[in-house]
Amino acid sequence: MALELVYTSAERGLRPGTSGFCTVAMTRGLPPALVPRLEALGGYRPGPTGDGPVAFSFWRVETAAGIAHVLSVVGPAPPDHTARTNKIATYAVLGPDELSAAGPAWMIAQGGFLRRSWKGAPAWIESPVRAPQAADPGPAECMAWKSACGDAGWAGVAASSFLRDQSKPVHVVYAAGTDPLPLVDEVIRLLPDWARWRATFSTYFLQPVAGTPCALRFCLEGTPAADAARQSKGLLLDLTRPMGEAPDSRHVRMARTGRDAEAVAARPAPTKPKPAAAADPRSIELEPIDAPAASRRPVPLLDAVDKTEDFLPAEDSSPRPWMYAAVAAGVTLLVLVVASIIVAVQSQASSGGSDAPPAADGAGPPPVRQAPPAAFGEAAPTKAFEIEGASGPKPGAAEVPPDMVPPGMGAPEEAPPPADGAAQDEASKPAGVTAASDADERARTAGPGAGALPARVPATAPTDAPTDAPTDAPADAPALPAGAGEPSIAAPAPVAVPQVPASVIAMRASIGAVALRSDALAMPKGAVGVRLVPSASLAAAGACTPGGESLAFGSSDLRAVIASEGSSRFVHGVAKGAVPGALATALGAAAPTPEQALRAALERCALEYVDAAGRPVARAQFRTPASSAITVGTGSVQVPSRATEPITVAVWGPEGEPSVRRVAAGERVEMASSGAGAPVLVADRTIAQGAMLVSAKANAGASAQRTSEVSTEVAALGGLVRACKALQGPRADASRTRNEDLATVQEALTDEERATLKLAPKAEGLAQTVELGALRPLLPAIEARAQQRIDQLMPELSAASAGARASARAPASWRVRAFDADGVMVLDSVARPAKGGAR
Amino acid sequence: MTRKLKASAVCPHCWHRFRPDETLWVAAHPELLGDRLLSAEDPVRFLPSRFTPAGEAIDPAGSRTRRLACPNCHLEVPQLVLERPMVIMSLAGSPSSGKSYFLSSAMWKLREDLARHFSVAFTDTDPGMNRAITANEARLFLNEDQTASVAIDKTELEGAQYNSVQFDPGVATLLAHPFIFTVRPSRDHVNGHAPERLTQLFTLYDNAGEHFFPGADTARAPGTQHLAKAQVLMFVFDPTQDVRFRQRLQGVSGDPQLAAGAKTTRQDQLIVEMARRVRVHAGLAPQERIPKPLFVILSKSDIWAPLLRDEEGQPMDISTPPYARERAGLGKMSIKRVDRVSERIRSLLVEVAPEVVAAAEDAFERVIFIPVSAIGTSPQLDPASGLLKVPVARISPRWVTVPFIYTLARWSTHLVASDKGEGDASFGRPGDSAELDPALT
Repeated sequence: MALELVYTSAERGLRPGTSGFCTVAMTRGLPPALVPRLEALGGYRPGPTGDGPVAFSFWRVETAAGIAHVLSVVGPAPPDHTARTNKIATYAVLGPDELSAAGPAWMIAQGGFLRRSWKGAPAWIESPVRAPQAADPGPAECMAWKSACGDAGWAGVAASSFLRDQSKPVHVVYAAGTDPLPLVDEVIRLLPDWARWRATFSTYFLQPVAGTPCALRFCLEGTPAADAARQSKGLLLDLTRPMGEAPDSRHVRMARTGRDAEAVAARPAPTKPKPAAAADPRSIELEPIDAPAASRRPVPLLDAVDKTEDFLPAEDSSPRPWMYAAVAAGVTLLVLVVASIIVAVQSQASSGGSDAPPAADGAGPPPVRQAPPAAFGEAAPTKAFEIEGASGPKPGAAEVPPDMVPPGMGAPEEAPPPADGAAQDEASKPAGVTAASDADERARTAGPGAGALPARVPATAPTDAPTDAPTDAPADAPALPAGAGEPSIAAPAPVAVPQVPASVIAMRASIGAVALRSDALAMPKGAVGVRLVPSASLAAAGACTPGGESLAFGSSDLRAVIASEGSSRFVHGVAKGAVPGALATALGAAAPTPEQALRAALERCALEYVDAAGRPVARAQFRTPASSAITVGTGSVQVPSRATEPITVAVWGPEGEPSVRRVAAGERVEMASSGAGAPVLVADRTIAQGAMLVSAKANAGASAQRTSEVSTEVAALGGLVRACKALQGPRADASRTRNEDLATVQEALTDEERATLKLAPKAEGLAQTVELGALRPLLPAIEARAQQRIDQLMPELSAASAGARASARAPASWRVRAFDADGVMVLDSVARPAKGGAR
Repeated sequence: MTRKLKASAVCPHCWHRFRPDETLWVAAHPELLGDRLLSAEDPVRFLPSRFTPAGEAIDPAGSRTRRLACPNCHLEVPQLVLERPMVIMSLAGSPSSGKSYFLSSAMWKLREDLARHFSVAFTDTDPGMNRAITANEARLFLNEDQTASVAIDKTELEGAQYNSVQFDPGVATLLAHPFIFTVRPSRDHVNGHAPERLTQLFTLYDNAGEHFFPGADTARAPGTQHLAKAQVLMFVFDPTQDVRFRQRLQGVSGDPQLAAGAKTTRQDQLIVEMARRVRVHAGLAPQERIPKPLFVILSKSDIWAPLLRDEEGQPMDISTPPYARERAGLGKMSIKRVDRVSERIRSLLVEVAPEVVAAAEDAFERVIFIPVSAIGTSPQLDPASGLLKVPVARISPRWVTVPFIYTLARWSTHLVASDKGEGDASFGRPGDSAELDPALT
């Protein structure tokens, strides 16, 4: 049942003391946190003629509990109690079971579902409204589009563009008098069912709302939104101008004919009913690269390569042939990489080195440099923090002035170039970047519920630092107050985000200060920027990271900033003067030097690599985590930990989702990664003081045994079915085969059937026979029962077989990571079977 | 030309104070879209490390850009914000008290009168940012159809008048859209030789009246926190929403806003709430008077002007402006006349609605009462639409520019002459950011 909210200007609102624009009606039980989110979606301006159209919209509102599917209608309303212009907005929040296969536009179009007026006093709506439901109508000829622009195929162009990249909006400019809702409905009907409730839209788009995407934007000609649409990137379909003929493609043909001929032709003989072929995202066809320009701005040139992976729905995880090929190639590569690393480790071990980087689980090479953990207060390892003193900067490294002012504003001319050119090329980038990004995207775009949100380590203690309070520092000392205006503080670490090799920090003397400088931060594929994310304890100590580009502590002279040089990034820091007391306390040090404090602070920050949409695609940190490999069944890895704070441990295989557990002080936790053959990870904080011991033990799998059991039963049932069929056939003579069939069927009789045939219960074990004539009436029921049982067992058999196969070719390693309460990774390792393979 | 940057600037969107070197730049490369705090279509903001010799930043993809953004909210800020003093003038008032009409009329008349009488240019700092207010100005004052009646749309609590920013992922915070104007001496001004020293910015906001109700100031809609950053505060008091004024005006005016059953509001409560927000967000003690001037703007003076009398019981002139051109290149503001009118209005309010005076003077150190009429005539009820509309041919604003020019005359120097004489020595400048260089000759 859908929950409603009605928002308009009234003399009195539902909430006491409210007046003017306010909520006047709401279904009891609507989550309070959702109310302001909905109210913020109701912006409305009449159109150029003063009597604007009604805006029908579908939104996906991301909340802490998942994604809320919201239908809304906003339109003009009679003058309010002050005789001024008014509007009314009605929202319906749908439950996950109410997402009709017909799609959101169809649902909105059902008369009476969304209120268009509210009269009387404010009131609670006691009973939720029933959302209309309909079966999947499938694609239809897009008559509205044909009427609007002459060619129904343009609906297919819009649908195809949406499927190609759901993050890029499709703009449609229409003239007054055009009803855009049927246009939206027709586009959505061309989409596969998994995509219909992702196609957010507005039939009268005015402006974007941050955090609430709108994919299909129908803009009324003459509005600022239409002007902006003509300036925007992405697909623009301008219905106010001659459109011509849409370039031919599969969706264009679907839009013109109402049927998906290719999918029908390509559909294999099904063993069970499948949804309409349009629902198969694999078969989406891209627009041709030489699409003729018909609208004012031509359809943008499209990639000639097949990007079908972009279209994969989150729910669709069935293996594809190319997946097998890719996995096979990946396994081969993995074996080679692991073998080389094992050789390297053994070589290092023989020479005394024991801190070898972990073998990657197919995630690429080990970090470029691996420094031992640099705990605060310890002497800085030479490799991690080099002090160059008065001997001058490294050749090629520019001086960094203490005030970090950029050029053009009284700043140095150039940022320092890379110290050693250590930026990695694409080939050396962790291979898991794309896979994990896809997983993150799947998690982000999955359906409602908590599982729809990206998997993250449970957050540490939330910061109380204000995020929106303006600062009021004096002009001559414009220091930022602690935590003021921070866009992001202490974000918990996503466990599975690819980890970019952490760079070390060099230290150089500068003018009256000590300057820190990182090596080049290699940019993973897809990343366009880096931001500093301070830990919770740093945030509480007054760290602020304006825009994520810099780190500062109030008015102190401890600062760091991310600078760009070509495609690489660097972190520059300057440390001088007094260390703020709150920072020293947070770091647990009595009197740290400025450089110690800044270095330790940077070690408590994460470097989050973000793509153009601001989504994290990788992560790095300056603190080096423990990385010794965990061999199943033998030994353990010791992870330093603060005595009272929990540690979050995650383990996962190449194909599974991370299994995440929080391990409190004094606790022992056993956890298993998903997937066949995965070991049981043991995180033990009961043995060593101030440390967590992480080990792994074999997990006794039962897949093979179960496979054998199920396949045996299926085989027997198959024989029973065949016997039933044979005995019902025309050739039921007294041959040996007939007697065997009779015995087979008699063996399968239930006690009730035996009683019907006057046979003793099976448990008595008496050797009795029955004539075919007596048995014949029961044969159809017996056959049906056997077939039904086969149908029940087949999925289990498939799963058990897959599990057994997976177990037989179980991955060589499982990624294990641990994060302290600050979100800093303290363990980045792999668990792998011992030689000889006890799992 | 050398550009001199201020030591710090205040973002006109989120009121975050930042140093110029913290300023973010807006990427120009077409592929760098999707700022993490804004929408997927907004260009990425970045802290540059590479610049061209012309002072343009080079974005991560190699394109040059000049556009700047606040490091806190990532919304775009004009370059002048980093260079010239900015006076934030906050406007508060109850719903339908006439704030939007007042703002539109005042901005239009300031463009006219500052140029005509004072040789001062009053222009849009960024026309794109002021689009909403210029549209309202055009609707009222540039309507080709002089027989038409128009209405300004009721100000919303969301939508185009607000910028949405994701300070938290997925959650939009609505920040009021600022209107920024540049005040600069013209060539024929007596100080027209030094515009780079005298230029300053006026920043205003048009909030919905609902924003000023208690409880409406939330973390997700911090739209009125400019009150704490403002150097000049204005509260629009609508006498037609006060029961006692309405009773006195029966028989005096036939304005439809005085019709029986029209909405009334406890406006003194809004002043108290406004003062509370200023104190909270400015970190002042609850008992502390706010050291900023408050203009109590009595709107719709065309309706209630007959109630205003001087000491001798004669009607007061609140139609002709209290300023005129003094000589070529210089205009003069009669502060004494404004103060005299203010004193008489105060007396009227003490007589009719004393709690309003008490609330204002209890919270603010300096209160000036100004009568204005944004349209100078009564609106008419349009039977077709049911809306109150204004006949454009009869629009004749009164005193709408006075609070702004008064501010320039009293607390600024070298732009507007005045007769303040010794003035009120006990009261200083409204704010440091409006301070001008006294060394100017």
